[in-house]
Amino acid sequence: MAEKTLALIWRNYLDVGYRKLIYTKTNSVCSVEELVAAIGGRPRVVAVLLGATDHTIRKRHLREIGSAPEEQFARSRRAALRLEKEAAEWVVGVSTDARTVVSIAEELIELMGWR
Amino acid sequence: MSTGSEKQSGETTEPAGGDASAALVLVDGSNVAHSSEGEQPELANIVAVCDKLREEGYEPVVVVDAALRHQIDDRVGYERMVDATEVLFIGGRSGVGKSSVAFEMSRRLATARSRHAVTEGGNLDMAYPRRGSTAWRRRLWR
Repeated sequence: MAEKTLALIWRNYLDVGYRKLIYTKTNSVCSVEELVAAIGGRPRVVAVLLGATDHTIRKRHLREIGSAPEEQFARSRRAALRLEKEAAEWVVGVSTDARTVVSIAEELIELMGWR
Repeated sequence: MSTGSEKQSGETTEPAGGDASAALVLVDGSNVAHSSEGEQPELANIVAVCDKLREEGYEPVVVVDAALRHQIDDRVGYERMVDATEVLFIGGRSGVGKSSVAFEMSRRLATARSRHAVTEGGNLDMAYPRRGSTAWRRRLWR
């Protein structure tokens, strides 16, 4: 479902001349092939896995506090372990502990060469 | 048709076949596209040659004449190859700051007048029941 929708969205962007896409999703780094297939063509692909310790996550507090914050935290924790294990080895790991959003954003723009 | 991007640290690896140290090979794309029978030049020919070269460890750079754009059988595919796309996937546990980083990147790129798009994958299939799930298969929703 997500891939089909992504294909439509990206097609619309492509048609009017966009060529750079930033795609965020928890497990995106584990399903790059499917996502690239949805995007089509032969894009240059970079995947980044953002990481943070449980301590950091707790401190920041989950912004999307819903009906069960503890459950959300547990899910986030499980996801972290799974992503670490399942992400392809060429995925770039970036720790966000003790870093600002600005500096991480700058690093990623640099990484893409999108200056 | 190369991406023409000259940076590339060792970290920006492609999922398959990408090798910064690979020898470049110039491919006469127009000629290759016309190499099959029939009137119309075929994009598939170019793709096949490039695939083969990559398989052999080369990095193809395809050069074509301007007319090919109007003659090629698969125009959409052609346009995509001419102006190659670049994708950054940002993954990570919830709360790690994927969206915040993407928004900040977007702001900076906009300031630099760099055309780009941001898509939040989490919203693309935020629905109940999820397609293919048990609830979906058993038609449990109302």
